[in-house]
Amino acid sequence: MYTALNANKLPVLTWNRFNVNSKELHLSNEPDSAVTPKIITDNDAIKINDNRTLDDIVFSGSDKKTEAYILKNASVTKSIIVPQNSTLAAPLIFDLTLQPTDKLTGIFDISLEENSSANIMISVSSLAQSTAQYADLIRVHAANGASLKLTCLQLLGSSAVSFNNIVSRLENDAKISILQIPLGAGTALASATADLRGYHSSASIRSDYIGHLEQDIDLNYVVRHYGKKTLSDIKMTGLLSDASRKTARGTIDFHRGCKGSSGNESENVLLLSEKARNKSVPLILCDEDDVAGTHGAAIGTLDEDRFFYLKSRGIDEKAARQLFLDSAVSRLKNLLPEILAAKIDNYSKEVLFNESV
Amino acid sequence: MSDISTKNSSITDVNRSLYDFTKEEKDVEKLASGLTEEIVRQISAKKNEPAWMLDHRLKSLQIYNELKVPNWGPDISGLDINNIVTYVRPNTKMAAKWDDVPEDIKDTFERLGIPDAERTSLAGVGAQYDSELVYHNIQESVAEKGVIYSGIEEALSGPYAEMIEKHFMKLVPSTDHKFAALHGAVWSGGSFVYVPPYTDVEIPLQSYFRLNSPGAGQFEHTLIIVDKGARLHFIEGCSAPKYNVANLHAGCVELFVGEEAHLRYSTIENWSKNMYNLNTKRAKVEKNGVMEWVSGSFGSHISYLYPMTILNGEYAKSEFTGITFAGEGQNLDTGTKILHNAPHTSSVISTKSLSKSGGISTFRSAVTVTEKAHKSKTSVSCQSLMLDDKSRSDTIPLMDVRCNDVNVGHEASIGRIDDDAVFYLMSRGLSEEEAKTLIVNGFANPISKELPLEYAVEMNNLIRLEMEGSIG
Amino acid sequence: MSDNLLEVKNYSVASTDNVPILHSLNLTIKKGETHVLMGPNGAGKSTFGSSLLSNPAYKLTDGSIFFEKENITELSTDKRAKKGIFLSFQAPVEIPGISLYSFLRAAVKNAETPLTGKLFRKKLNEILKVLDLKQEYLERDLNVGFSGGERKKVEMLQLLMLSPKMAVLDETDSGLDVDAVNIMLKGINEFQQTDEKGMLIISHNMHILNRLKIDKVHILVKGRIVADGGSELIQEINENGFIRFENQAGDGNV
Ligand SMILES: Nc1ncnc2c1ncn2[C@@H]1O[C@H](COP(=O)(O)OP(=O)(O)O)[C@@H](O)[C@H]1O
Ligand SMILES: [Mg+2]
Repeated sequence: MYTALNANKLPVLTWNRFNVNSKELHLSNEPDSAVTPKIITDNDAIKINDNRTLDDIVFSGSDKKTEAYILKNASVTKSIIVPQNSTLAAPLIFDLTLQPTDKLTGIFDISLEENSSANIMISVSSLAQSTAQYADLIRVHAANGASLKLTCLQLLGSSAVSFNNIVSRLENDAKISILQIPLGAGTALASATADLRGYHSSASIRSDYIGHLEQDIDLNYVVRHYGKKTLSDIKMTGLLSDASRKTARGTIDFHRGCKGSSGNESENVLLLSEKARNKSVPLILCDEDDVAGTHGAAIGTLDEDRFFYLKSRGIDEKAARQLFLDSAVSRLKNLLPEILAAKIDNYSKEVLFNESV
Repeated sequence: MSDISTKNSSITDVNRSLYDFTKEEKDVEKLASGLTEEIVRQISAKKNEPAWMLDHRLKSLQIYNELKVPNWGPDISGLDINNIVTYVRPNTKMAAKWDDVPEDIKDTFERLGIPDAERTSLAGVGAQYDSELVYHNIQESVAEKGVIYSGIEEALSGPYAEMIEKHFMKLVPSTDHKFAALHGAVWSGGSFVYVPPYTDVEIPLQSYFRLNSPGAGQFEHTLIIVDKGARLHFIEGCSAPKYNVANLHAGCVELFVGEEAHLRYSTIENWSKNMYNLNTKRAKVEKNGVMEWVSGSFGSHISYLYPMTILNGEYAKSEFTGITFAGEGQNLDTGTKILHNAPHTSSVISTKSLSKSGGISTFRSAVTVTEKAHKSKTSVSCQSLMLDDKSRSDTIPLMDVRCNDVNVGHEASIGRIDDDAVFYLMSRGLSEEEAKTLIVNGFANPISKELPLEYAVEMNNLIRLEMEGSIG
Repeated sequence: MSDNLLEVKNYSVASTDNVPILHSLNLTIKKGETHVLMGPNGAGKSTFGSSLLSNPAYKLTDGSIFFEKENITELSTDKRAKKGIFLSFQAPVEIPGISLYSFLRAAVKNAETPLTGKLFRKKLNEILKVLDLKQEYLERDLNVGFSGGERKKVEMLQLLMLSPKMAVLDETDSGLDVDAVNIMLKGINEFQQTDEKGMLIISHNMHILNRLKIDKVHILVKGRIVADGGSELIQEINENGFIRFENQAGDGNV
């Protein structure tokens, strides 16, 4: 048995025939498998417990059933409290390694007390051949002056389903920068919402993907500006090869009263195969005049000039594709600490550069 | 302005108050309000139309009853079809001379400047009053080239009957959405244009739609076929006086642009603020053909308006230039849809929207690039200006790309008038209101310069009127 | 007599939309020679350089092109590059998504003597130093956000890494300050080391031209070669400009 969800909902609907208003997702009702997260940290100041602490953070981005499902199914629940004024320099890493048929549901409640800062990474991976299912809910509360770097790396096998959810609320001068890398899984959903409640709070959301095989990537990002002088920046970058598909929704939502705020959204999609499919729905909702919102998107293949340049260096079409993949992988590796970079290396050897090219 | 087609056409010297006058309803025939099979049959019977058309109407009615109202877009729960009179016949037959048009109706169009414009700058004019055309005329020199411009109902029983049957609601089928189905059931009036191959209609044709009757709907159908290598500029205008009951406009425009043909379709929509404008417009463009839309939306209470272009032949091109100005009590959801369905097609979309005094303006678009559209190019640019902190402006674009060797670009921006620019102008002695009006006109300028000259003047006047007293 | 490296015969080029640009050019560059191509703006110099690598924006309407005596008229861009022809672009494009480093690695694989990991790195570091380019540029996307001068240096970097047989330098010096021009000179000198290489330099920069060993000069006006000669032509043009040649071309055309 499974639960049907309307995931990754567009905050304001548009024509139904394009199938972008939400993503229908079926998640298994089987009980979770036993998976123990490996926690890597060199800091004792941080408090990690096995309870929920942020039920008051309003869930959004998908329908209510999604939240209910995760709350009900979660077998891994972690609360992370970063004490006032403390700074975690080295990243705190949760490493979740799934067996090929595992099912895992996780909740991570991250509270940053005033003026604290942390760098937290959650990595989910499995072998290349896998039908695993992973769903999570990461809730973040950043108190005044707090700042969080949050990275979610997903490297599940090619028949897996993954659904990575981040919801966050930011107080005065708080900052969040989110990086989602939904590299693996046959069906890869990633969602992040940020409520910029406080004065001068800011959110930066980055999403990096490499669509391959028959992968179906579905993204949903929403930043809601409530506080004055809040800032947002959503950037989605990726390439689509083989018969991969991707839908990206990005919404900047300026609420009345968020005077002096600005939001920026950009998307770059390189289509490397004839069978690749791309949908993009970049929204700007604006209920306040004293704001600046911009959006830009570029979707397509290399234009002739650029292609000529590569060819003039002896690089043919196939080599060019490989080059884009290489560069994308090494760019991602550069963003991550050694241990996670090694996982990407592994994944790219086993999957990206094995079957697809 | 160098383009001959934008020279000197139609209305001069109008401001918004000029639209808002009513005429007493005299001797009109008005069907009961609501929508039933009975009413549909009655409309059909009055028109003496071919049997296939009655079939089409009845099928459309059935589809109307099956389809749901959209779950997206502005709220139209204030529109109750049971309160809408779908057919109102003015007390006149269609005339080819203004002198034969009844005085009160003639006066209406005179106040709108139509006969005057016809004399000075148009190749032909059609004028519709409520559900029926009251006037249709085309210059002899243009008619001699073989250009047909007539009432569509009249054409249904003439030599072009077959051509109409072949094209009527083929681009916009009744199944397209609920209000297309409504249109299919109760349509009445509208124009038919046929431009034969390689014929250049050098000066524009214009149809003007006026809805006078309170609580009525207008459902005109415009069908234009521009044959191979031909050129046409068509202008559409519409307005209505303001009533405190809902009026409905669910027209349908179908444009067929042949190989190497060129069509420009300009609209200034100025419906009164009690109007539900649920209009559907669509063009299909064949190889090397060009479709240009120029669209200004100023009126109506609620609009759903997304002229669509299907680029069906290689190297077909389309350009969409639009401006929407939503003021008090208005929720204008406008934009465009493009389907790239052949190689080397290209499209450029450029829109501006303004919101003021609590108005809501939404830009909505869908650009689809199909598997067939190799080497196609599209770029979308939409800019929104917020004129105060009571209003709202949303941007909802969508891109569906199913072909890889293409180039899809999109940019959007939203914000308010730049304080520095206002300061700069004020430092040169302009008042704040003058400075802001100047800046808003500058913002709208790329669009207004695409409009026929007098419409551009009209638009600037509208903007000035809207801006008056906006500082406070 | 050394061997012919590059030879174009009766070489005519038009844009893909059929605007004729080059008319019946004949030119031979032998191994070890450095030629200079000069001409007023719009003469067709860049078109010539670019067409030598079969830029799809142009088509050959007549004539043929030989490289090391082999007819390569029908060869595609990447095949010509693999044979050893290199073009330093007048306006190198930005390519987001490909890092300079991965690009260099891929390009070097096609060189005559591909370098393996360590040697590649070593040579790269040396050249970066010579060209005064920062290491961190390697991780940036190709030319993205690079200044005009930096782009030109990256072209030179590729020339030196690939060490092709024939180099076409299209205004490698334009927009550079004196220091940067001197760095480019160093690069050119380094490339000119062996007498196997051929060069075609498109430039009007006396600072560069005076400091190089030049074998031949060709003057291109309105798509035609109107004069061939030695470095004395450079001096003449430096003093009098192209007027004499333009008149000549004008007469010849009518
Ligand atoms: N792709 C093209 N299509 C049409 N004309 C071109 C194209 N490329 C160059 N031209 C024209 O050919 C002429 C030569 O240009 P170019 O080779 O850039 O000159 P130069 O490098 O000598 O200044 C110019 O008139 C230019 O406008
Ligand atoms: Mg040049």
